[in-house]
Amino acid sequence: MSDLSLVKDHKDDKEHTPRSRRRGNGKMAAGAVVFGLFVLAAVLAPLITKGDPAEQDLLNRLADPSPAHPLGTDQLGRDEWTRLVYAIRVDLRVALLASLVPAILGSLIGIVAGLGAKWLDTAIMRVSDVVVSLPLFIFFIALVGLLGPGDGFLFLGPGELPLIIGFTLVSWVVYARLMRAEVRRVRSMDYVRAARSGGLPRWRVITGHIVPNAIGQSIVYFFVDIGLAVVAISTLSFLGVGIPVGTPEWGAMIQSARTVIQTNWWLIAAPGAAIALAGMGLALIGDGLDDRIKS
Amino acid sequence: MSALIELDDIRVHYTVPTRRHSPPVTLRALDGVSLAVERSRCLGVVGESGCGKSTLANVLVGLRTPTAGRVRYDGREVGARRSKDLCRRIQMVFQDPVGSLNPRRRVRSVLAELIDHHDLVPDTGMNSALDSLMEMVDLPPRVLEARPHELSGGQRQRVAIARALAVQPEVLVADEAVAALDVSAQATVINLLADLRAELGLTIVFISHDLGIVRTLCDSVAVMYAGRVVEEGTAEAVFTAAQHPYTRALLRAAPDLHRPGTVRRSPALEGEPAGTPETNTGCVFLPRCPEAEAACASAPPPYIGNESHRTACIHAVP
Amino acid sequence: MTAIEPVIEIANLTIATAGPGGVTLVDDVSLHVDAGECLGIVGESGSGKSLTLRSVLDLLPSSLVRTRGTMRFRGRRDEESRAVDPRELRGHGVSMIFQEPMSSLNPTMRIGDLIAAGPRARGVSRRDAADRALRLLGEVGVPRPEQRLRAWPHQLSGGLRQRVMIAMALSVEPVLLLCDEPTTALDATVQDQILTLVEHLRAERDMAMILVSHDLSVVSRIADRTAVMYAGRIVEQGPTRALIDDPRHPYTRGLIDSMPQLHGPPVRLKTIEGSPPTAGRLPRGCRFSPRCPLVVDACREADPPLMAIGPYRTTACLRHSAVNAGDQP
Repeated sequence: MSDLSLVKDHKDDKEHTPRSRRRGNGKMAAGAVVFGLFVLAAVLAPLITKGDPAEQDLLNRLADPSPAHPLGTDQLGRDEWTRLVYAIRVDLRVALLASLVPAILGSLIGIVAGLGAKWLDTAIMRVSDVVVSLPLFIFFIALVGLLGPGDGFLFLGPGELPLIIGFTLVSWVVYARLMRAEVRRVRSMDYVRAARSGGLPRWRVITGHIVPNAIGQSIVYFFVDIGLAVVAISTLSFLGVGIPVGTPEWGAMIQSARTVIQTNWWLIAAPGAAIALAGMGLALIGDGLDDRIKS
Repeated sequence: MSALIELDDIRVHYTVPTRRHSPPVTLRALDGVSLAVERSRCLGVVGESGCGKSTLANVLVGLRTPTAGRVRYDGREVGARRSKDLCRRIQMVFQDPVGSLNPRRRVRSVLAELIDHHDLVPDTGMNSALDSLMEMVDLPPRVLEARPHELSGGQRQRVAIARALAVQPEVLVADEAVAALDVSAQATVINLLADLRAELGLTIVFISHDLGIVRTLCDSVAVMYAGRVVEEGTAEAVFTAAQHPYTRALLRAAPDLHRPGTVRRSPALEGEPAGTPETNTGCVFLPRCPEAEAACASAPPPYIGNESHRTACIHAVP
Repeated sequence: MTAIEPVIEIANLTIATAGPGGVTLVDDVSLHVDAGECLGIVGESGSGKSLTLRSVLDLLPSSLVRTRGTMRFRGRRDEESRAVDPRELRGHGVSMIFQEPMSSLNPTMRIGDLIAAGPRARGVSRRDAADRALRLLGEVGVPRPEQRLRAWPHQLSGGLRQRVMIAMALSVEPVLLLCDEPTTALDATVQDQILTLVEHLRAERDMAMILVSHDLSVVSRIADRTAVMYAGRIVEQGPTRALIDDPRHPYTRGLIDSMPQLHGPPVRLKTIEGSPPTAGRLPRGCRFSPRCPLVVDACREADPPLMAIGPYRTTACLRHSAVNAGDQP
């Protein structure tokens, strides 16, 4: 009387995986390799470099690449390769936190807006409108300037906390809006109605049935956002805002090398390439995730 | 026997904002629906899109609070907030077998969550409870470990029925529960519902646009149009001696495998189902009715007939 | 019947997923439609009926390819049929109407422009195309056509949209109209109206038609001849009436028996055991054999070919004579 076989079993999955899903897996793998190499380099930094990114050698300034200095030295005779690798720690740490904090905060706000009372939703959306209308970079420069670099906080270096606060104030909006839209879509799905009519309490419906199905797009954006944050942080420190000059940080490195672009162009090209590659790797992960979710 | 579920003059009205400078419009999804279903019976609700049949399902399971009117369950009046136990007693099976199962959950986890929440079996008995649920809906136990996308449409719909049965309900509200299925899967699910009703004494409210299925499954039928029940009675009476012009048109419009070949020169009914304008104080079917006359426009027609067959049409013969 | 050639003749159509190890979804389907005739194709989801229809205009999704098959087409009665490429038929002799009337109409174009677009593309003047659009809207039963010309798709009801789509299809004066589940998304009374309209138009214009539907009762109302598809193959074909009254394939029989009946006392539905095979994991021998009540050893050895069993009738069942030999096999 019944269908005796499952229509698909897991063996089948490999043969009939939709194309977009396979393509997504490829992108994710490529992105993960790139990103993984960065993380690995950051962790193994003391082993693969000279060890101290601040060590100066004033007799050996602006040296050409050589076996001792694979990327040469900068104006203060610091090893560029060492600085480049140590900068991963700074850039990724700040970028990760500058995305994670707003992601969590914004998603929670979005859930409240999507499922809460109408007045609350209206209030949150109006506030988000105001934030969206702010001129981002001017706001940033003002805010970070106002807070000053400070001395660092817990494991954060000087200038990092103001950056994270600044990013949080601006980019929670994206997560809140994404989450609100998704939560509203999922809320009217039949499986949610089924869970509700099964008498499950509201919080269990939300945590067990609505949020897990609504969170996909936010996760995708989270990965893209880390990449964007890397670019933004470097841009800001290039402009002299945020991370103090002298810290091994890609944007700051480009900034200090800009006067020697004619002779020692690699001092700019190397951190530039690092920024681009990190951003690309993260975007690939996000894009691949997106393909997977949509298939 | 007294009715298990009774709806008394249920109204669900929505206020829809229109363009600026014009007053908001009130949509009447349900406009004075009274129905009663006895225990272990099967009521079919038929009608076209927008007739309010899905709203009716939502009112029955408590997903929508009526604007006015009373719902009684087992003789007691049901308030706006339902107790956990009452939620358990009335369960719903949805139309779309894809959208009605949480794509991220395995079948086991969805069923266990509900059983657990209602403390229906001791923890040690969970596995056997789940196995017997699967048996009840004719699925192999390994479906428990599947996620929805690994199942066919018919299997998903049986999982949806198992989910409803998991909490040991008394009433099953099926909203177009087989409409999205292929013919052969549809037949097995219809037979399953008939069997469950016989074995468990379930009361079923079966909402469908397909008259053939309702004829196969139900003892009584309510025909809805624009938020009202225009004809209601035993399936036998409604299908063999339809009184309302709309019911007759529906019966005539349904394509029939064994009575084709006659090329009709005109369709059964002109126009399309649409909301009835607020200005219409008469019969809801008036705009499309081929038999309308002046009297139909003045007041809603009263029900003519008796408990086993009543019709809201002034032309109906008692 | 004289030996006139059919309007369209498709031979050995095979469609598979692209790439290495492609899975065959439509397997060696051959069919033809005579002038003025309506062929119905019935099958469940995944049977390949829509793919077969779409391949006539090369409207397959990009992930699928036609791996085999030829097509011959005859544009006019006095013409000889010739081999054609599906793309040349778009807007020239063949039109198609789809299931979902909302997503099939471009929401950024007015109704009049939508209908006039086909003729305009073939060089008809703006004024003539507009006149034709108005006339067609009237012909497909849209009330107050002058006003509707300026309307947007979202302002129309489902039934009106489907009528607009039919008008668009007719605007290029096709000799063959392809209908893919044209009434599935519609209400019963509206479905009835659209089917009546299609019957009229076909008789008036002497168009040939292919109607694809999952619903045998819809097909039975319009089609002269019906083909039943199962798991990518045609398993039975014949004049509609004869096919329903005297099915010669157990799958056809099962489909008919599992349909709920509106008239007569209610009876328990008969069902077909199991579910259709997944493409790419077909059983050995006859595709229907695992579900077939009449199965014998020979059925599991080779997939039976379509065999002629009477005038215009073919079946792919070795035990076709047993299908109706009493209710219990």
